[in-house]
Amino acid sequence: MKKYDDLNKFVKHLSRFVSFFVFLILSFIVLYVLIESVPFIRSEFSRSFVSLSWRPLSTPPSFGILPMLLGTLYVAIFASLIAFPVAVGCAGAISSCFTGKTKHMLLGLIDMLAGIPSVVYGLLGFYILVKPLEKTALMATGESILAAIITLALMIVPYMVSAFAKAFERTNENYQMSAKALGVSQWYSLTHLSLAHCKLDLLSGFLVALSKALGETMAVMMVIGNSPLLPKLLGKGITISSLIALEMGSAKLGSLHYHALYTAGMLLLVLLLSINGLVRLIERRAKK
Amino acid sequence: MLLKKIISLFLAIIFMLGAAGCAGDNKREKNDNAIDPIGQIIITGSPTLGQVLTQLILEFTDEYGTWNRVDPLFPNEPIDIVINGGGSTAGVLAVIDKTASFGLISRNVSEDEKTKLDRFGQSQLGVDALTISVNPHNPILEIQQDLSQDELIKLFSGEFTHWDDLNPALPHEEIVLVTRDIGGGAHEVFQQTIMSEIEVSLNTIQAPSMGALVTKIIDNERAIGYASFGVVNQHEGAIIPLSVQGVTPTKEHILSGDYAISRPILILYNGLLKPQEQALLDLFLSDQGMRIIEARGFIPIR
Amino acid sequence: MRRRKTFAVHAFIRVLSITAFIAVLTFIFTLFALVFVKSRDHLNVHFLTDSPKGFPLGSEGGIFPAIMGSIGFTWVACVFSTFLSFMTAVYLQFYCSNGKYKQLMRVVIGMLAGIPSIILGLFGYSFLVVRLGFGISILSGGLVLGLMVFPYMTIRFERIFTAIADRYEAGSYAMGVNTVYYILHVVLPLAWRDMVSTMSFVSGMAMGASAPLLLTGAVFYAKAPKSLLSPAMALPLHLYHLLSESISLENAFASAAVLLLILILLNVLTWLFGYYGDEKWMS
Repeated sequence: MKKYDDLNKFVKHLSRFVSFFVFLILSFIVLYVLIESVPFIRSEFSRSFVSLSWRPLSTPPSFGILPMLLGTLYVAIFASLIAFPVAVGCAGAISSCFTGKTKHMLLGLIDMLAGIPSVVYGLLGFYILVKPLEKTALMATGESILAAIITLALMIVPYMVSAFAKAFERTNENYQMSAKALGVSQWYSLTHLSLAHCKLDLLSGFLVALSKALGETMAVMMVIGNSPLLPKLLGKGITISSLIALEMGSAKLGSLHYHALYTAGMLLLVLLLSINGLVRLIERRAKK
Repeated sequence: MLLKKIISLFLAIIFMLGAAGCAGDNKREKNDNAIDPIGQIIITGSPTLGQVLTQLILEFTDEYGTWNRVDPLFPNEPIDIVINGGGSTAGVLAVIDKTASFGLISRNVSEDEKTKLDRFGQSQLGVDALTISVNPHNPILEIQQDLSQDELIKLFSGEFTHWDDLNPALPHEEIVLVTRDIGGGAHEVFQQTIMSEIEVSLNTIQAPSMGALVTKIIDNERAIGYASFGVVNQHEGAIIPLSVQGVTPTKEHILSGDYAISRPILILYNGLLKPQEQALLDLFLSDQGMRIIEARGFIPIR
Repeated sequence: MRRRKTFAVHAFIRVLSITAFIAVLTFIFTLFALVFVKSRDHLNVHFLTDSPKGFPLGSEGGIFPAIMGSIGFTWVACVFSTFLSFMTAVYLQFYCSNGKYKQLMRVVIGMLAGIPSIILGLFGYSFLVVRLGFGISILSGGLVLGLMVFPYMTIRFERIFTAIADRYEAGSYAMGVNTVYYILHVVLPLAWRDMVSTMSFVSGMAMGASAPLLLTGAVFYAKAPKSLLSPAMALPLHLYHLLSESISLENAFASAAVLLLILILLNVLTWLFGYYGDEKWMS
């Protein structure tokens, strides 16, 4: 077995090296975004970051990120709030009404929904929401915050359903025996046991979906109108990710505009990592 | 088996990287001509112009296939041209950064941009103009077919919010402004010629290309925007241009300079061109090129 | 009184759940129906095998270079991610005895999973395209996609290894084999199907991602990619162009249909391999 000993050492060191690489990657990513943000933060225009006016090419330029930040939060939070009850209901129905193979198949179907690319959701949002909305008298153009909220909600429902169904299933396993022995119906155990027991899981599922919604680029970009305005339900808006996606191509490497976009990216990154951290804390508490 | 797996993965990656590098070398060995193979030619810039030239380039590629059939002095390699969008500014940047051979620009190159180029090279293919266009069902067509500069400024700065602000005879409906995004050549041209110091309103639909801008106006009865003359011609009847300061946007008025908002159609390049790149430029400037530019509604340079 | 209130609550939740469930099912059905019906006329062999045609380009179909480009990006992403994930999972599961390090790694991987794809694109642009000089290419785009999917793959690999360890680890070590032997002769034969299933799942994720490619790999028009360093078209971005530049709504739907078909195929593969994997060592 000598050759296995040598091989063992080799694999051990190689895998340790590679796994360390992962640290490097994360640090690199955070560092690069940070480094490229610094020139803007240090510049004389960094104050304009907290203004409402995004005019990077004017003299003097203004880099107000507030409309984008508010747009991102508005759209993501409302989309998550709408998706939440739908997902809870759907997951509840699936875990209570179906068993075994059918349940497995349904959950597989939901997982497939989760795998549908965001551009397809954007296309659907455009066709089902934007085009008809345009014909109504409610708004000047179909592209709107409203369309973005609904599209995003549709997108994150599968993720929530998946997470919630798993949570409900765990509760079922734990309490199945006792519940059946007491003659309690599936629905009863759902409402009184699962929902109560899984509160923390529900919360963490909600936050995970929220973080996905906050970071989503394509689907939102295709239906929101992309105007750097404060978000109003029937008006156009913009999110931080759409801003970066749309303007990065024409920002001169090394210009203030370029660095401001990285700073916006930094903001988004910080926001998302914080929510991630929050989820982790909740999960740790749930384990107790 | 694990080790084999690792090794085979490494080999696969190295092989592909090597193949990428060797592709050029092999061809270099095959011929002892003075002209080196060109590989891929990348063209970046205005998507509007990109659409027009892509037609030309596809015809060219289909007709010749390999460079040596274009000119026997060129090496035998397939013609491989890549076209990228992003807007005029992205095109200028790509030429400056040398990530593209040619930039498709629909505005003038600024002095600042010119200094960043190693060697400034520019060829004008034609002329385009920005028409102020509306949807055929817009009531303004019955009432007022001309807009003064002052009215344009008030419209596009957002000072007028509803159509009746412009003219009391019009209905009280929200004006939908459609513009190009800030990377587009049209944006700068419009800002400079019409708006001068006053900023265009932020409450506009920023279209990623002229095609999208025009489609937006075609789809929305309350919309108004600065649509490219060429693209308007491509959708004749579905979108109606108004006159500006009394001048209608016709070919004669644009060429004579009477129509204020005109813009050049330029190919930007960095310094000395390689022979194949020059051949491509010659193609753009050839009769075939001019014919396609005209057929797509723009005004060719000759 | 209390009974009536409880009953009302029950009924409400029941109705809500069933409505939600039906709504979700309806949505799934509508999605697929809409995409496939709207693309019926345009989805044919020419659409799949030609280069983009028509004026404006793409209005008469032809998405072959985009399909090839997407396959290229996904392939690079999968290779890169599999290597990285496998090594990391192997180390964490079999060689790492330091609990704190393991925990830290899990946090790091979780953080990587939380980074939005556009930020990864930003990083890819500034680091891979500009700093390392890879340019807009399949390599740059593929590596960024690989970074995007790597956390998910690692977590899955770890789960697979853990499940096997629960059953076989004690026995193997009791017989005196060392770790790499255990990996090669026990873990891999049992796990390879689940690993392939994970690879196909991750490929599905990579193929549908568009934000990271915007800045690092994809262009408006190019031929099918011949080398790692050439730029390429990508299917989801082609869809986006067709729609946002108002080139052709029908072709956008047809491209979506192609994307969905590829994803269904990958999903089937995932399921197939996963299913067979389950049987072997879960019994």
